[in-house]
Parts: sequence; structure tokens; C-alpha cells
Amino acid sequence: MGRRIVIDPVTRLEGHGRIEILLDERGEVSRAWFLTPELRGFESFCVGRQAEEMPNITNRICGICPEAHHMASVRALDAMWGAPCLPAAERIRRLIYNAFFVADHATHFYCFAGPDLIVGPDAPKTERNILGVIRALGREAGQGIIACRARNHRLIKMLGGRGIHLCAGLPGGWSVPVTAELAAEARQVADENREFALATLDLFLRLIRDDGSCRELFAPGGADPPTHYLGTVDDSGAPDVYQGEVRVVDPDGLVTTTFAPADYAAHIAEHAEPWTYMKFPYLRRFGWRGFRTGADSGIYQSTPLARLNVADRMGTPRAQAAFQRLYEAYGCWQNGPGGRNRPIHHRMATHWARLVEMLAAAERMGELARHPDLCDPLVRQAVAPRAGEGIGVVEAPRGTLIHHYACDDDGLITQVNLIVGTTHNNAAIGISVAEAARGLIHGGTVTDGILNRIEMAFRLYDPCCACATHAVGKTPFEILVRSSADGAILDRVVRS
Amino acid sequence: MTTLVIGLGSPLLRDDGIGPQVVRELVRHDLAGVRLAEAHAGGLALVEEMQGSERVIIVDASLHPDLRPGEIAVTGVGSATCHAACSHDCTLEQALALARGAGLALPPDERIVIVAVGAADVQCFDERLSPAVAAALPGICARVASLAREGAIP
Repeated sequence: MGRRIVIDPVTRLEGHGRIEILLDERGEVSRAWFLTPELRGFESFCVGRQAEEMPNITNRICGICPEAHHMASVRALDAMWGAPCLPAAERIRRLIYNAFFVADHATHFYCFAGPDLIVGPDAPKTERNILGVIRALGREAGQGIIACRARNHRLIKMLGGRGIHLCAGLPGGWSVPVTAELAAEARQVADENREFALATLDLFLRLIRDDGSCRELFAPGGADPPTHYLGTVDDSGAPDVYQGEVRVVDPDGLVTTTFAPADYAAHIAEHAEPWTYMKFPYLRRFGWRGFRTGADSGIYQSTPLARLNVADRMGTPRAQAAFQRLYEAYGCWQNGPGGRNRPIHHRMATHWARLVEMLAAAERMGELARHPDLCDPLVRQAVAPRAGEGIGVVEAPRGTLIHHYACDDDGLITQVNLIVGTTHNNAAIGISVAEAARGLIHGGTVTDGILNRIEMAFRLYDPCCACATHAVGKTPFEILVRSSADGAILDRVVRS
Repeated sequence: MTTLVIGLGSPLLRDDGIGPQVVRELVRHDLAGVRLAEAHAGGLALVEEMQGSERVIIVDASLHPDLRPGEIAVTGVGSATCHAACSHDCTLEQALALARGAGLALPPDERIVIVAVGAADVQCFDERLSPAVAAALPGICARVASLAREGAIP
């Protein structure tokens, strides 16, 4: 008789997620998929509200990336009411947003991925947590993480009006200018972030890529199934997490599509399946061809690695050096179409890419904090509501974040659509989970270490089901192993 | 002794908003020396909010089957509510251990009180509490105020 494995809800995951693995009568994986069994209708909750409320409502979709929702939302208002952001206000938005990226990526690396990468995927479950990471790295590492979060969150609070759920975004502007004292603090924070990011990259290379139990996971051989990649770049082709044009490259690295964020619906469509509430975005140009990878499939990824895969270069010097080292390590440096990099298809390299992005964000903060006009007081402008549509796109740590609103003459919201990072990656996550399950489960043998390695294939995307289903919640994760014959649950692991 | 009351939860998610509702109501109580705060995220973010306080009371919604909607249970760190953890970083216990190890000034576990409030619905987007929880709000506020005064400087 076959068996069915279900992982539900997934460890260290915001929102409710479940992995189901179906075993045949020989104990081999016949199917595996990732699903989200909840939807709470956030969009309908927003209809009828004043559009100005949106940045302060959407930033409560979850507690993990409120800054991303706040920025995408206020940029949608800029667009909807024809109010390009004032230069001084844009500098503040960018400064906050890069501080958020540093804190978020640092937290992911040490707290979410660290238990697997540093303590080890097969270590006892009781050791695979942040305290195990600190035991392995020493007390100074814990101090470094706490200090990194504290300085960036304080800066965000001082610039954003409130910690975590900042509230200073206004259509076309920002609520408060930067004082000279705060500018000095921002410079200090940026410098400390840069050193912390460099030290974290060094730690990753020494202890994880070149040593330790995960070394083989980062080896150049044996790439994962290729997909298209999507991300935002600036005029020079460097990644830009705040604004730019959206670029898509194919599995060979050829730029196949470039579009303005406002045109996203012409290029991205969403496929629905009856067994999950999270939709499956795909590239219209290639269509939905099921859960298939490759150049003729519309499936794409929008992750830190995807953002680097679409980029020509990094916008800051140290990040550029780290970028080159990453692509050289996988044999992908400047040997693709037109001398571009070939995309890295190793999903685990997403962890490495995340650290390159952290360094880039720290360096960008340093530039912004030293801008001669950072303290320019002209951050507000009068903006009148008008009927129309607005689309705001930023790169969230987990992927491209799209807020699309429509409002009436009174500025009341009539329609909302959100596509978040985890949703873009939904199909790729399912494929990664299935690949991992097929590679690890044989003869019906399912151990905690195997299930954790399957979860690692999922966690590298840093998924957030709460955002992806627009449901607020912190329900943990579950893996179910089921019989393919009758669907009976044979193993169940709940991570909470 | 500096006491902090944290209302934990989303004010947009029906009974999940009980924590924030309680601290908003407590503004009208005589709680000199008690700091009031709202928090939406657990784990490290929650612990960072506690920094500098000598005693902390966390008010959070709970779907524990033994709690009727509006009923409260006063517990400690060892039996923290689900939302006191963050699934993107760590549990409340782990976050406390990490932050203490890094030198943050935090109260000991025995000075962290969790007031779990039975909830009927923490999933629907709605800014109103369910009827049973709304009816219990004054009593919950009185109990939390009493707990806060116990630890405040006389």
C-alpha cells in the first residue's frame, strides 16, 4: 500500500502552509506539493476605505515585512493620484527601505536559515534553532544579530514615525524631514551595517560554503530545474529594491521581457488550482503549461537570486565584488548571451544571493545617508484625490511586491489586488519541494532529518503565506505522508 | 519597578485585536508608571519591545480549547500563546535567551506574565471584537490593570 506524508504547518513560516507527499506502494514519492489552506479576503476588507489609509492597513497583513507593504502602498497612491514623490521624501523612503532589507536579510540568515546551515540539517531537532546557532558561532554572533536589528529598527522608527508598522508615508511624499542628528545616526548605522554584512558573507563562505554539513548543497554541480527569473533593475541594470523597470530573463540569461511596473498585468497572469488558495503567477508570453520548468514554461522565480540573475551589475562596489565572486563560483560569470551572466539555477545559492543583497543595501544606505540634501525639509506636497488606478511595485525581501488599487472621485477604494513575493514563487516552491522529496525519500524511509531537508528546499524562499494569502496569522507548518492507495495519513509532523 | 503592558495582535483581525484593544482602554485607567505598547509580531520583535522594563504583561488572544471566548488565563513564558513566537525567527523563550545573551536588559522569566484571552475568531478581517469577547473587555482590562499595579512602584 502506498503512503502519504504531510508537513503541516511548516516550521518557522509566517502563515499556514502544508507540504503533502504521496508515496506509492514501493515507498517512492509519486507526488508532492505545497499548499496553503486558508484565505481571508484582505482585498474585500479594503474596499470602501479612504485610499490614504492603505499604507497603514496593508502594513498589517503580517508582522514580517510591513515596511515593504507600506512602501508599495504609498507608491501605488503616488501613481493613482499623479503625484511623483518629492526628491527629499524619496531619499527618506529609500533609506528606510534599505535599513529594512539589512535587518530582514540578517534575521533570515541567522534565525531562519542558520539552524539548517550552521547547526546542520541532520542535527537533533532540539538543537536546530537560533540558540544552537549562537552555541556554534559564539556569544558575539548573538550580540551582532541583536545589535543589527536594534540599530536598523531604531532608525526606521525615527524616520518612519513608528517602529515595525511605520506610518509616515504620504501620497507624493513623507511626513517628517530628517534632522541633522538623525542623518549622523544614519551614517553610523550604514557603516556598521556594511561591516556586519561583510562579516556575515565571510562567515558564510568559511563555515557554510567551504566547510560544514551543508557544503555539498552549495557545490556548483547538479543545478536545479531552470526557470525564468524576474526582478527590478535601475537604468544601469543594477538591482533596485525601491523602483525601476521589471526585467525577465530566460533560463539561458537572455532578457526576454522588460516592462514598466504599471504594465504588470500585460505580462503576468495568475493560474488557480482548486486545492490551494495561493495562486500561481506565470508569464503570459509563455502561458501556463502546468508544473513544468524550462524555457517554454511560464513559471518564473522572484527571489534574491532571481534579482541577481536578471541584473547586469550591482550598484555599489563591495556588492559588485561579492556578486562577481558568486557568479564565478558557479561558472556563470559573463558567459551568457551578450556577455551577461548566465543565471544560477542552484536554489540553495539563494542564501548566498541574500547576503550579497544585504551588503548592497548597507552600501546604498551609506550613499543616501551622505547625500548633501538628505535633510531637505521639502517632504510634503498637497495631493488631491481623483478617480483612477495606481500600481506600486517594490522588491520585498521575498520577491517582487505589487499593490494595485482603484478608487473613485472621493478617493475611496473600489478595487485592490496584491501579488506578493511568495505568490510569484508558488509554483517554483512546489517544484523544489517535489524534487527534494523524490531525491530523499526511498523505500518508504522517512526520518526527521529527511523531512527537515525537504523543508529546507521550501525555507530558502523565505516564504510568507500570511502575505501570499493576505491572511494574518502565525499558524505553523505541517508535513503529511499519505498512502497513494487510500489517502491514509501514515506520518504527520507538525512544526510550531 | 517599571512595568510594561504589551497588547499583542492585529487590530484588523477580529478577536486577535483584543491585546491592542486592552492597552487602548488602559490609557483611561490610573496606571502611573506603567508603559503601554501595542505589538503585532512575536519572537525577537516582541522581546526587543520589552527592553528596559523590569516586568512585562503580554495580553494576547488564544484559541486554546479550554478557554471560552472572553475568558482569561494568566500564564508565563513556558506556556506562551502562539503569537508570542515568530515563525520567521524564533519562539519567545529562544528570543529571550538570545537577547539576554546579547546583553539586553530584560526582566527574568518569572516577571513576564502572559494574559491569554479566549477568542472566538482570529481569522476574519474585521475591526470589531466578537460579542463574547467585547462583553468581557471591561473585566479583562480591570484584571490586567490590577496585575500591572501589583508590579508598579507604590
